[in-house]
Amino acid sequence: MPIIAAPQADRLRTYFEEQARDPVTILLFIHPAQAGENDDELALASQDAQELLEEVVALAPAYLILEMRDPIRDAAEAQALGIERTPAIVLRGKAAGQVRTFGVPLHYEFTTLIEDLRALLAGGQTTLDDSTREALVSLRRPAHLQVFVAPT
Amino acid sequence: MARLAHQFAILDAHITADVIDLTLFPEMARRYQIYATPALVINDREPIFGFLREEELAQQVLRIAGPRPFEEE
Repeated sequence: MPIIAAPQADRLRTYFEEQARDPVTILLFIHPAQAGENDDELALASQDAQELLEEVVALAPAYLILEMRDPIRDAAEAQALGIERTPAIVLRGKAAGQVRTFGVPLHYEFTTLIEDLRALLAGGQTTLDDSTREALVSLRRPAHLQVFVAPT
Repeated sequence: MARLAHQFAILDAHITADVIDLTLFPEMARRYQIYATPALVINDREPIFGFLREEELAQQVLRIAGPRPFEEE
């Protein structure tokens, strides 16, 4: 049974079609075998993330690409992208900064993923207020934002 | 707040935005002393608990990574 129900998938397909003009690559770093604590749970979460993302890219196959990564085999890339835990999702497209998710984007975070993709498919067009854009122009140093959530 | 943080990162090259499921990574809760969600940590500073509106998030980001007084000329 699909994770994304058919009526929702239809709506999202239309939503993406209306916005899409730039491709987006989704990198999924899966949990490596026997990496340590919580292995089973993290391996299962990696499978869940893969299933979900396969359904998501099928909503706009001409624009969305899913690429699987193994943090051991692809260690140099993992290090360059700051991937220290898995499952990890990195979105690559018309983003100025780095957009990452550690875990499975379900529930509220599914909406976050969809809005991320919409913005990237539309060439990096966010829904942020003009006042926010103007304020962030004065950023001088790197800012690493970590938002901690507990999906229910 | 997760959505806002990611939108900030899409907008600005200075920003890396991570959304982290604490139920999968409890060691992160211990590391940053997160006892409620949502919580925000910017540049490894003290956590900020609860939802932030867009302008509040921008203020917090600028407080930590914005211009220092001597840079504002």
